[in-house]
Amino acid sequence: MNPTYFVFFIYIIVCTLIITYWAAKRSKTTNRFYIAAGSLTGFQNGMAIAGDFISAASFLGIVGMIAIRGYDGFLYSIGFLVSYLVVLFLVAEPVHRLGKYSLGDVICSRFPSNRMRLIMAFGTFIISILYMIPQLVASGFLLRLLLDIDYSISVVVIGGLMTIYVVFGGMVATSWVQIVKTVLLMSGTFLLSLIVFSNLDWDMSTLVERVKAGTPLGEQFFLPGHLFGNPLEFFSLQLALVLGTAGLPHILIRLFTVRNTLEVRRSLISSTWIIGLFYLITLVLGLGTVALLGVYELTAADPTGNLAAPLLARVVGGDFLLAFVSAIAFTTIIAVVAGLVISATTAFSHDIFHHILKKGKSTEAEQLRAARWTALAIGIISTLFALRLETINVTFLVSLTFIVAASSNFPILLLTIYWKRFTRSGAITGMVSGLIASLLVVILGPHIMREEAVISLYNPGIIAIPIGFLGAYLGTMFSLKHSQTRAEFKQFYIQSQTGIGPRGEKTWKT
Amino acid sequence: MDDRLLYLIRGKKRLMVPAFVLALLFYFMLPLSLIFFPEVMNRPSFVMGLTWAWLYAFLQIPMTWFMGWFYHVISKRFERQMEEIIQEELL
Amino acid sequence: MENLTIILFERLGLLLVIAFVMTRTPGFKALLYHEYSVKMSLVHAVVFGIFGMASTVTGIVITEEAEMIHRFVILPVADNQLIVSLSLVAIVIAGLLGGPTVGLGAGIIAGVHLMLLGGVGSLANGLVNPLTGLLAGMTARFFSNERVISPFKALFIGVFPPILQMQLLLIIYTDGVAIIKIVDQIGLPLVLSNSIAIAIFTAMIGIVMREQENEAALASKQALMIAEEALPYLKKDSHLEVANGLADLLYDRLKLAAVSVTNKHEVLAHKGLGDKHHQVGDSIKAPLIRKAIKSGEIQVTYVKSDLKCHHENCPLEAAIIIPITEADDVTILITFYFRKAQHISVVEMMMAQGLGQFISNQLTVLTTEKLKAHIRDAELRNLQAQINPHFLFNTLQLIAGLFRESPNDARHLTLQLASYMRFNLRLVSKSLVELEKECEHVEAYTSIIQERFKGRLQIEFIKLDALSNIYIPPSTIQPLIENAVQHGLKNVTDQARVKIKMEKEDGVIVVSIRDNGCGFPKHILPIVSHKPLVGTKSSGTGIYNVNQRLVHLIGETARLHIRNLNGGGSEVKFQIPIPNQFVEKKVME
Repeated sequence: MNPTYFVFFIYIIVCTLIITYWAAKRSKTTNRFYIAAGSLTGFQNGMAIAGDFISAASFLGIVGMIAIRGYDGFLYSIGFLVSYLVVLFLVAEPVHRLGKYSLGDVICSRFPSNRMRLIMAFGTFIISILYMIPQLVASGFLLRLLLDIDYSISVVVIGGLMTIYVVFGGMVATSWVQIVKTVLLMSGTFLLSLIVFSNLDWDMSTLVERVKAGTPLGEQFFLPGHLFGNPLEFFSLQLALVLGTAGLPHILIRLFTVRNTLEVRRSLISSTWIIGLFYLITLVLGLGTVALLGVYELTAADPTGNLAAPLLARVVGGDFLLAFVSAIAFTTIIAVVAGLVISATTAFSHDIFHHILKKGKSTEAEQLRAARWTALAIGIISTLFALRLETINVTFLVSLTFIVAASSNFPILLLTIYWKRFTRSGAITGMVSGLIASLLVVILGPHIMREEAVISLYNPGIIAIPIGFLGAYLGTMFSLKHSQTRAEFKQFYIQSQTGIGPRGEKTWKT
Repeated sequence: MDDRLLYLIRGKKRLMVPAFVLALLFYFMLPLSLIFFPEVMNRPSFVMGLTWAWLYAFLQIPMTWFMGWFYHVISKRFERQMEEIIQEELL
Repeated sequence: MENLTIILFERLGLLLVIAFVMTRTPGFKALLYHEYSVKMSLVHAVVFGIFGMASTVTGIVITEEAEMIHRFVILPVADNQLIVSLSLVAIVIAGLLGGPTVGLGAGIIAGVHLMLLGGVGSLANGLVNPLTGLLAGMTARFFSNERVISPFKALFIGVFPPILQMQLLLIIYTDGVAIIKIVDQIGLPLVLSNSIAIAIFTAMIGIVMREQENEAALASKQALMIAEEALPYLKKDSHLEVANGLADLLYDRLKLAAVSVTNKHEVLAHKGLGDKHHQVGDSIKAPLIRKAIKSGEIQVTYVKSDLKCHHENCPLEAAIIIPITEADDVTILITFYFRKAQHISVVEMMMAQGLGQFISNQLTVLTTEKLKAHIRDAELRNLQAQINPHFLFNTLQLIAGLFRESPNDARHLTLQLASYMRFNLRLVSKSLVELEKECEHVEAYTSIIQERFKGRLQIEFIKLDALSNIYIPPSTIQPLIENAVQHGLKNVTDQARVKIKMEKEDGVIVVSIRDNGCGFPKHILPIVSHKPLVGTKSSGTGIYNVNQRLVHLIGETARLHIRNLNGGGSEVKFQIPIPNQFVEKKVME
């Protein structure tokens, strides 16, 4: 790529970051480390949630997935979207009411226990790393495309830069980073899709014709089945996707940042609108890639399909548009990474450092320092993992994260809120078993072990998720004591459903 | 008051649970239909150019939006009723 | 691409020069400073729209073969040529400064112009301008609370509109023309030039606004300084001195053609142009001045004829007339004169208003202070009178003398003395008393001194019957009588005769004290009630004191009228209106 355009690419990123910084400054709340003190409106928070959610996976991965695999790729986006209903209907309001800074708060509001906190924090840590890896992979690809340098070097460079950014500056008001990024992303991709349509003379049949011409699958392209040979795979994936969001810590903590449950609902509904629209756009982009670039070209440049969107931009708009779209993609990645690190470091410094290690007494400076070390650790670990994963479409990687989330956090959360008989030991065993099970099935699966895979499912969610639930159930059944009386649960249940605490006081979130 | 609240919650659940189950069913029927009725799904639907498979997949999006709105409306009503109860009990 | 960048920057330079010159004109400054109104928004939109059009004219045309044509873009271009225009700069600024409506309006103007010029990209250009204006307006508030966004922020915001423009180009023109190549060529230069131009232009506007703010700050500082320096002049007693001092000060400090200070009837002072024919003592003719006096509000005139100056070559054409009120009554008027109507600006108006207000307030305060001083004085005098040793000793001696000869008279006199003193005791605190009580006081006093100067003094007191509900400052008549008696006693030939008369005329009660004495010395007459005379026997201060109290507690109408009578002697007369008007005038209780 023309070095001039690379400078342009950098310039746009810098502009975006600076604009974000100003947008953040305008909010009068002090830059609280943990949450932006409930000052966002529902819609703004919705944009922030969408920003956190639409990561490199959604943007780059799905476009590539649709381009190469057709219908099955589209199903990924559907799964991602519908999962929000699970969040909304089942866990959103109770989480908002029960917790303050982290998921650990929510669970510990019923089962106060340091061990519980530790495990929850650990789970958050793992999920954040897993989510971060695909982002680094994607940025590695991008940099390779733009600068023609080796993948490994790219990843190391990016990983290093991101870690530095997050450690030193990224703690600042990531809500606004997400919001600005969402605006840019939506408008940029929307315009790109218009360009695609315009190239196809605004005619659907032209689109269909060109698509059929551009893919080796020909007529079959539009038929389902090009990704999931096995129906079981299919179902398993959908299960994991739909249940996973409700277990993603960095999404759930966004439910703490608004004032009341009305805004919580508004946030989630706004984000479903934004995310839904976005997936429609990515569909257009994916099909456009096939029609205008051709799958052959795409896979020649990049067999994983991760670079479909930027390559499409180059076809329809030259280096100029390539630079712009890449810049957007990059900002998206930075934003998501920042959000992930916030949630992970929250888990660590608030739950572990403050509550457990320092027994509730630590200064903000100490917490900040602990958070920084955590961010550093996450950066390094993710980079190391990312180096090994050059050949995988990032969407896959993200869906693995969803499996872990759906097996560990989700069962615990659900059972804590709704199951009378749930006990602390049940929660602990559930969490642990879910985590171990999901990680095991992935490691034993074909992604890592290729041919010697013990479990042949690419999407082992259908195994791991029930194990998580089972673990929780067994743990409860075998626990030594009931940790709560009926009356206590009743109180807890009412509080989580209505926000009304004992003695009829409404517990307002400040 | 607790009992009244529990009663309210149950009423809310009575509406929400079926809706939610419906949503999930609508969603999961998609992969299941693809698995069990592939020929049907691949026939063109009443919308030009789209097979049932595509149409069904598309429809998930408006379904999600609709469900979100539905939840919002019910919750608002629920919250209003809850306010009334609190006002009554505390006065 | 480099070529294009350089040329664009050159054209930009041209535009910026024009813009800079524009910002120096007072018209533009006024434009920036006006308050928001629909009309101003429209004007703003038109101005920026025209600027956008000018930017287009100074743009470049690119042909299909990617050649550049350097002529100014005045006529419509061929279909296969593309106009590269810098209009987005003006539009973004319009949006940032004036909000979405101004941005949209200016964008529409520039956009329509571009569409009319045709060529490739006409539609895209036409669309992107209004869209950019609208978006810039909407997001401006989002990023900064200042009136004008900082150039630094503008630099970064300015990056995005050209990107939007390029994308619109790509959307709309995908057939035939090698639009991608064109976008590649012009994209970067446009982004760079636009964002830098926007930043510089914003900086310029920022400078203009800061200048205005500095001006305003300076004006305020000046106003406060004037106010401080005017104080000593206001404290002077004679209106003439006050007028002169003010006129000098104001003419000196403010850049006015002339300043004149007048009272209701005549010019008291005039400094500056036209002082040859605007003389002290000239009577006031302009009806505007009457209006100012009547309404108590500032009057402005931009027309020479309103000034009613009869001198043909009078250089003064416009004026601001500021009435100064002292306790609700317009006493003096200050007039700012200008050579041309345009010289009157917001600054002068503000100064006039502020000064008027300030001086009025000051005068009222000063008057109140003087009044307080008078009343204190009267109280002191009362106290003095109460325990005036001479009066007491003389009267007691008189009484003692009468004991043997006419004990009844002695008794009568004792009672009168008691009454007199009781009255004095009671009255130290009140500012107004009933006329009845004052008459009692007078009678007590007159009895005593008539007895004292028996045979040499005759006092006649004609009073009214219905005296209720009428108020008068205490110890008003008594000092006048004292004064009259002293005059009369100086009459060698006859006995002193003092006549005190109260009569009712339409709506007022007239009180007159006449004596047949030597009269007031000529040189003292005009000023005896205006100035406290340091003289023998406190009678000079007495009259002054009485006058002040009458004027301040009842009004100008109660002023003492003093004259020497034709047949010898003098008369002191005053009138007080019959009730209802007064009770509000009680200054202190």
